[in-house]
Amino acid sequence: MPFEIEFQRLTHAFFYPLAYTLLMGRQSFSPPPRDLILRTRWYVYIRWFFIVAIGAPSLITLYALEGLTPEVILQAGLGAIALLTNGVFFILSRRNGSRQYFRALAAMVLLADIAVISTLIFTRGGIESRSTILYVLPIMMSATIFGRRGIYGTTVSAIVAYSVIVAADYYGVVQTFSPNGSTLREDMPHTLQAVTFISAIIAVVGFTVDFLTRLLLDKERQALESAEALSRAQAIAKLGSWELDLKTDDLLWSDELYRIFGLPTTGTPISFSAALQYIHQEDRKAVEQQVRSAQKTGQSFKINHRIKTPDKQIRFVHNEGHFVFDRKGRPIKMIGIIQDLTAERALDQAKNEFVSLASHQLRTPATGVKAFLALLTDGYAGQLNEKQRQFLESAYEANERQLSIINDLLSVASIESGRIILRKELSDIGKITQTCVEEHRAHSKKQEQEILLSLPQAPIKAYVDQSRFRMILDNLISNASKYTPHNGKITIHVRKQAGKAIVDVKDTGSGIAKKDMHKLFGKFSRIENVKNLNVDGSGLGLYLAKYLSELHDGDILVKSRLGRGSTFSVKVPIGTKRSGKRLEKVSKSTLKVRNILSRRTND
Amino acid sequence: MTKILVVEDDPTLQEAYKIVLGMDKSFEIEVAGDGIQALEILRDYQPDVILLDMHMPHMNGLEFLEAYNPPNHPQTKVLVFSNIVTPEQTNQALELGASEYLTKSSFTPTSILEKLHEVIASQKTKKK
Repeated sequence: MPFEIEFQRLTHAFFYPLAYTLLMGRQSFSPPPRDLILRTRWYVYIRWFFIVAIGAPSLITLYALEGLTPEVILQAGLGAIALLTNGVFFILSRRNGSRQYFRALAAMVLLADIAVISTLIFTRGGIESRSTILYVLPIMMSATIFGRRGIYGTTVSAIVAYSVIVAADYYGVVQTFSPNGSTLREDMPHTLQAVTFISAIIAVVGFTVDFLTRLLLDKERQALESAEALSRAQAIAKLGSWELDLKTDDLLWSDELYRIFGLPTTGTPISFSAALQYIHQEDRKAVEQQVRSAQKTGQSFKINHRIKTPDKQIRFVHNEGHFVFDRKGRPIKMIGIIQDLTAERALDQAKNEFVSLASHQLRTPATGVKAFLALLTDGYAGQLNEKQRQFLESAYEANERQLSIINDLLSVASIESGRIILRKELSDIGKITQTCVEEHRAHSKKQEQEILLSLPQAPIKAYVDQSRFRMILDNLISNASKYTPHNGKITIHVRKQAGKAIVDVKDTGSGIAKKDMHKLFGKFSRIENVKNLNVDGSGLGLYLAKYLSELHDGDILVKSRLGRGSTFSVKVPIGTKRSGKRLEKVSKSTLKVRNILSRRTND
Repeated sequence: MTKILVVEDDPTLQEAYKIVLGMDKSFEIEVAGDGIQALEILRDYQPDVILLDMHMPHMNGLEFLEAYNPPNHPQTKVLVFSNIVTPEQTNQALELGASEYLTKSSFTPTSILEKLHEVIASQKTKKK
């Protein structure tokens, strides 16, 4: 068989499908992730190189054999068109917005290529060429639809399809002619040779290209896979991430963040000011302030706020941002996360409502028990003997404790549901403390404890919610009383230090071991040595006190020595007029709404 | 005779109120189970004091206060006896015209009677 015929067979039968496979190999019908398209530049260059490497010699051979015939020009032109359409497709698909048109673009390129190849094959004529079209099309389809796997498909289907045609011709089912005039039957041994030869070439080239590109793409694939894993993890955690470029104020969002905000994953350019628009209007200012002041101070920020999705849903999120510094220590960008806590919050709310409801239901009969016990002790059912009185008093005390635990539970539930709004007003801390202490005097007398109060000469004033501040003090004083033995001493000291109003509550009780310190303010936590003592408590008192003091921008500090006693100090900032007024304004304006809310839940 | 209307949904406490207030022969007592019942009774009954619970079915204490509007009835004093003692609720009840907001669970029969006598006495001096 003359060399040029063998070469023509090679080019016509396999150049185009091979080139096509290589070109379309990875750019299959499913749109690749944004990141991959952006990184596949080299992959495409390699494919172009192969097209030229295989196509050019074929054209040059033809040109050498036949001169500049119209056929050669047509083939070169069509080859160029194939390169061009594929190139345009690649460039377009790199653009972010055109991802959604990916399938349409891929289909267009496929059609263009089919047209090019069909024209080529029919103009060249001959049996090899015409029969080629029968398997070129399925190969192209498989390459387009299955991507990389299409290359393996090419090999298999080439052999099968070609063998079928050859066999069909051999047994006289169809009658075709080879380019040199002989029938295919006569040419059979050559044809079989050619099939084997060509298939082998396809396999070798295909696998080599695939191997090379896979090597090259491995890094991209790994990056892509880890990006995908990250994206999946973000979706599971309902946690999106963001990056704020401090120089340009450009904001970059992860896909999950778009989902949390109820926006389409792509095609929504986001900037800091645009992002602010999606934040619930009541929280917008606070968030902006947090971010901006974080930028000024270079410290990270954390804030819980609401967002409003375009379909008017309100979501509760946790937003946290940290700085990234350059080598000179200047902040260059801020990275952060936003976690969707809507479901958790709903659950929490439901739990609080349940606790609240259950406690209300518990309190009513407990109050009934108290009323009748009191009727008995107060002699409404006749005179009591000493034993009866004693028993009733024990029952009464137990009932009192039950009620106070229920009250604690209710307070915690209402605090945690966020219904508490402080009504801060400029108050004399000494006076509040004094009232509190007076109320405890009767009780401490019963316990045979001494209770001492030392007040400052000049009144110390701070912006506090009086009833809540009293709750803090009540908890601290009754706590001190609980853990102080008979004949013990409780000292309360009101003082001022470094812009803070401080109330120290010092007892001569059992003290707290160092290892238990961290547990003190936990919910329902009661420390070891205390459990052994005969002391009652819900384990909520200190939790409440701490929580309330934090609502006042204050804190509670503890000093303690085992066996000697403890000092609990509550600190709140001494109010400046300005901040106090502002706070009051806020609390009043939101009060109405809150009242409606609290009324509903109380019903 | 001092007329008292007790608005309380819990039957046990209703019973307790009846016993305690019944001790004082100068008291005439009516009992309502919720705000709606109370409003019905109030159509042809003008008490000197209303003891009002907050947490009740059908119509709670705040809604009752809104409907009854104590400023329109200066001869009647409304004492709230409730276990709900959040500042929000307290303030709202006082704004709506309740005279006092008291914690139910901290009262004993004797102290309730004392409180009532105190309120009635102040009312009488006002009238004079």
